[in-house]
Amino acid sequence: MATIITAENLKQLAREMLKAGYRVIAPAKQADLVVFKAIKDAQEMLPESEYILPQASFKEFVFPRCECILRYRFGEGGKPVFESPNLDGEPPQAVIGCRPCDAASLPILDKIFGWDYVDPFYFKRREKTAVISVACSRAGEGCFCTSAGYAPDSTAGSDILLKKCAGGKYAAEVLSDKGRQLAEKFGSLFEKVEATPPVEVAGLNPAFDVEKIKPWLDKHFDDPLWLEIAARCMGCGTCAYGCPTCHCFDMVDEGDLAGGCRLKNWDTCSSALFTKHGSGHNPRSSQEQRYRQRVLHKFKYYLEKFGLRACVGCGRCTARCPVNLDLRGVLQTIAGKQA
Amino acid sequence: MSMTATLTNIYAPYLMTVDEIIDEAPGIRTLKLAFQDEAVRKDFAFRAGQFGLYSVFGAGECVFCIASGATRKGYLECSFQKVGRVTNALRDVEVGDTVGFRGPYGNHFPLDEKIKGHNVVFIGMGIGLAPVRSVIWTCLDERKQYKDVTIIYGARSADLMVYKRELAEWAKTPGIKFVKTVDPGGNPPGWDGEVGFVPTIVERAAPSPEDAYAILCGPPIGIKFTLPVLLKLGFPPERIYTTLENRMKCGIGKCGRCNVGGKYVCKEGPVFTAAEMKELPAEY
Repeated sequence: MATIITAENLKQLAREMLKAGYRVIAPAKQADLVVFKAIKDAQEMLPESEYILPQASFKEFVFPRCECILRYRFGEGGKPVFESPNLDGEPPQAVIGCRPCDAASLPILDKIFGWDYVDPFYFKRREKTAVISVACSRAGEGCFCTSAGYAPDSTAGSDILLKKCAGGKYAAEVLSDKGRQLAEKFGSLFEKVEATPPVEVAGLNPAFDVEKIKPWLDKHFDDPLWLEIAARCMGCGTCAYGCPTCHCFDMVDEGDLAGGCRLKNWDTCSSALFTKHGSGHNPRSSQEQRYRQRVLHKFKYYLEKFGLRACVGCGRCTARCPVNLDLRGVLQTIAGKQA
Repeated sequence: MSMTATLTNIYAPYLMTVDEIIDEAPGIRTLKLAFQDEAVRKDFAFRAGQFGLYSVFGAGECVFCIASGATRKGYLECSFQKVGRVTNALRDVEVGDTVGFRGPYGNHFPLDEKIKGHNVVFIGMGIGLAPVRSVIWTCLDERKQYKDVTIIYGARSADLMVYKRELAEWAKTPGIKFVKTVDPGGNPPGWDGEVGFVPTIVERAAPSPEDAYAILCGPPIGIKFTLPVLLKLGFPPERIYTTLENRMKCGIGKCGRCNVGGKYVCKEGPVFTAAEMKELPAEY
């Protein structure tokens, strides 16, 4: 037995989920860009044929760009009184129509936010997030998922994975308990068929062997290549903000005489201020050191610590970089070197 | 992934009352802080070398080591230099005011595990004496459990020395070999200490590596030049401990900035041996 959903019913699913109180996150237009949006109306959801990758990943719906993690008002004698941030009042949410690469970022982010101290602000959303992804039937210009160890139809992080079939239909692969509950709850929108019809999945040849990256990184912390690569990096952070797995953040207070809040904001290792000490000393004082950190964090440190690379090969960093600093090309160069 | 997380706010600090303010040196202050919550005051424990995030509500958080001895219960001390937004705000707090504290975080100097029963050489440079001071008091409060104690402390100039009253106390205490030094030119008329940079003075004082552990902290440049001296004197790299203090925001392995190579200073540190540091890239 296989499960099928039509494009029309996928839209209906969004409609019914909205009605049932879900926050529905889907690719939608904003000016002339495609972005992930908490849609108000199922009509906003773009048909899967009209985009490959939205501008940024849906990361901000589990890890917001800016979030209050502690709210306080000044009481008697100026003593702060905490108003505990809401740790369980989030509605259930569903991401519909993301690509498998973005979905795969969730198991990666789970590691950093879940090790040792469990970050409640991430997990309160993460646990209530269901992911219905759509396998890619064509590849975008920056895409390198097959080089990063994934595929246009990877299942990691998805609760239901849809694959395009003929006639505006999708074969639905239910992958988790969360997915099963959704497929049951909205069962009338899914159709059972005898066998999975032929599906369309993009072919994408790997550009490099990812297994060759870490052995070289292990031995080449100091290498002239870093300067050569990063000489043109402006440190703008576009790569980090678009990245589905970048998770570094800053913490700042905003307050006045009445009270204030402590905020957790997205940050980027390409900024010089990221590591600058109060004394003025900076352990990563030049741009190539910061670019090296970005590559090492993703392809060496994260892998050593958590058993996963912090890259899914979505290629946004490559596609969006204002100076064409092509991570895919950098990795290709590294993989071609003798460790 | 199934998380059976009990969702508690890991970023919420303890509230603490400023009990005492001590001006150490121009721009450098020590705050003595008492836990406001009775139960926390009773149960709070830490190990020498651990750090915390101190906050002024409305201004933000800042990371410093805990500068008081782990043997002293119910309160904490931190020493800081005013350099930015938060330390300037901390500078403005008065006795009786409330500040925040999150911690204790990170690893510690292995006093109980390794150092007890041996000779200890403490080396502090500038405000880097703060974490070393925590270990010194923890050790002096249980003096009988350690053998010979040597303290070498250097600052740029005599007025920039921190914990001046305690330096005088240590200098007078029998059983402590105490050496203080200032950089050339930092010695006022009548200066009774050494003159010279810490690495030079350590070499001259030549503490014996026999059955000894060395604990040092100072600015990155000071650590860089003192380590080779200790190695030359014969201290094995496994017995030289230092503490690295990279910039941090969360203190608990999430925010991603304090790493030296693959090690998070906030989790795998801040205390490292010279042997461990040899394996790390120079990112501190």
